Amino acid sequence: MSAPDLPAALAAASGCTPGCSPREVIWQSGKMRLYRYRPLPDSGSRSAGVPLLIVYALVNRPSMMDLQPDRSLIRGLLDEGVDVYLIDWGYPDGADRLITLSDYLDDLLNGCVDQILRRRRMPSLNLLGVCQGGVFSLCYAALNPTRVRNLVTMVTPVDFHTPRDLLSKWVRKIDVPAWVAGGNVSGHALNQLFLSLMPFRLAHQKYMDLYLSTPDQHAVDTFMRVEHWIFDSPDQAGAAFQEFVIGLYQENRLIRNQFAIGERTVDLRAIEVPVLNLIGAKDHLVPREASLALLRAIGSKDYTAREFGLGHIGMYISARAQQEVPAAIAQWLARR
Amino acid sequence: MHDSDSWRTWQAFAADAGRGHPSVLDPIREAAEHFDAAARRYLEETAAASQGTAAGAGTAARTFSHFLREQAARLWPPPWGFATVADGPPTGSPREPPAEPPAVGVTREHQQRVHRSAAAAQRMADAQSRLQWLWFDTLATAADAFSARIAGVAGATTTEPPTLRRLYDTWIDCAEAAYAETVHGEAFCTALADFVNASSAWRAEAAAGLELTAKIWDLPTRSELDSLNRRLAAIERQVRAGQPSAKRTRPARRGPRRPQP
Repeated sequence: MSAPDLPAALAAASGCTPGCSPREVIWQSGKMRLYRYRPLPDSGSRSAGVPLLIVYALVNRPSMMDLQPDRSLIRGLLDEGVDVYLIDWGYPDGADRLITLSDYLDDLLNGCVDQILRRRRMPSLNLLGVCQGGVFSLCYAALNPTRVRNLVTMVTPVDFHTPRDLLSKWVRKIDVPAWVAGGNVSGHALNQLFLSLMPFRLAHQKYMDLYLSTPDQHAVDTFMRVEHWIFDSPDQAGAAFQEFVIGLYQENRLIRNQFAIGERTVDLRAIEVPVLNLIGAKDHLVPREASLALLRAIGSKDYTAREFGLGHIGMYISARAQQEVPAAIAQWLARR
Repeated sequence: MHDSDSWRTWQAFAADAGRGHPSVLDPIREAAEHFDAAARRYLEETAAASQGTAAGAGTAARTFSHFLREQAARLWPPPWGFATVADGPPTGSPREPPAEPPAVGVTREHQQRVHRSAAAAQRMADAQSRLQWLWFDTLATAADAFSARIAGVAGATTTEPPTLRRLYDTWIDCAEAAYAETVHGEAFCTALADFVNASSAWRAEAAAGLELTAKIWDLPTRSELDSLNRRLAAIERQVRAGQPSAKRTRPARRGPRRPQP
């Protein structure tokens, strides 16, 4: 495709949205939906194994896990015969400003686990937590150890005060209660914040690369789906956001076993189930040291860390991630 | 640099046009004269450097760059009217807010709110000034690094597309490196936090004023809605706490989708 054809290609791709694998809603609560992805036709009885619940972050949408048929971590897991479930937290509005982390974890996440365990008649399931969802998964596993069989964390921060953690440095002196002021935090504002981490690459070079690479229509479609996802950021419920930023980014309580969900304190040493920790070595949002700190925090004797030479988003959608990450997860789970 | 005849014509025009209204064109005239002086100095120093009689073209460029940075920082005063740039780079310590006048009478509360808003606006301006200085320093550092990296690179001055692409990528690398060094630093983090905190304070005062207006017109206010929301949330939590976990199921209902722009 030549440069003059690019505007037409972009226009043709403007309707491309992330999400491709068939799924059904099996439970709803408020704006949250619990999805089960339909097993692939040839997966046979393999999908009768222990279900895997994917817990995504509140910031950004989980559709990145299932971008398109050739860029879908979920599709890769389905190919491996995994029974996949996903929590979609939805889009908070003004009425949700008082939702706390306890509401998210003790009510909604726990409710999802209830639904899956009852549906599959099993005592425990596997959790895959992604980024902030990984923090939620760690907290849930620590507070409910009997309900989690195996735990996978992906690009998940545990130590929020590592030297290269720029977000942590930026928010350290901010008066968060005054900033939130009892309301929700705008998704657009968070977009700007994330772009500000590497503005020249993320807000300029990315577009120049597209223009100069003379892409085909498929590459343009992929680009536009990623663009759609990047700027589809939900607002953040104010109370939960405030708890997360103060407790973790400012006070770094999780690694010190002082982080509270409701009235219960999370002690990561209570996590004794097998843990697989997937890390992006080039992650600018969650530095690798922030994730590697998990080793010294948990009580599990079965801990595996896998590093990939990928960035934060590359861990979900890069071609290399499609080849390696789903298989790594499925094979690790199959042995446990 | 510019036509000396045109410059003299401009000076004559400015002197004549400002006769009846001296305050209108004075800032423009001063800015133009400052720029003219700085540009002449840069050209003279560069010419002297080429003859081996001055510190060097690099020093002249730095001096002129510093002048441009000062001028740029003065170009965008915030709408609330406070000056943003003191003499030279900000020291990091915010200026003292204006002395608070005594708030008396029936409008005492509103007077205090106006003063707090003004104080917050000044803190925003101070922080913004510091951030602007840091931004200009970052760009200057990036430019220096870029110049050093491409110096001596064969073909760096050609306009062939592969060369331009390498130059662009090199610029991005230099810019991100300079930016990272700045934004990880204490000065930037402090200025950013000061700006956010001051804007939060200003917004809180504005919200309080809007809430008062809503009360006057007997309109629902955010405080009332939050109070109702808290009561409702407490009731919901009590209901959930009373339910067995296996039966903690809510009737399926659709939540509202994201509002379309």
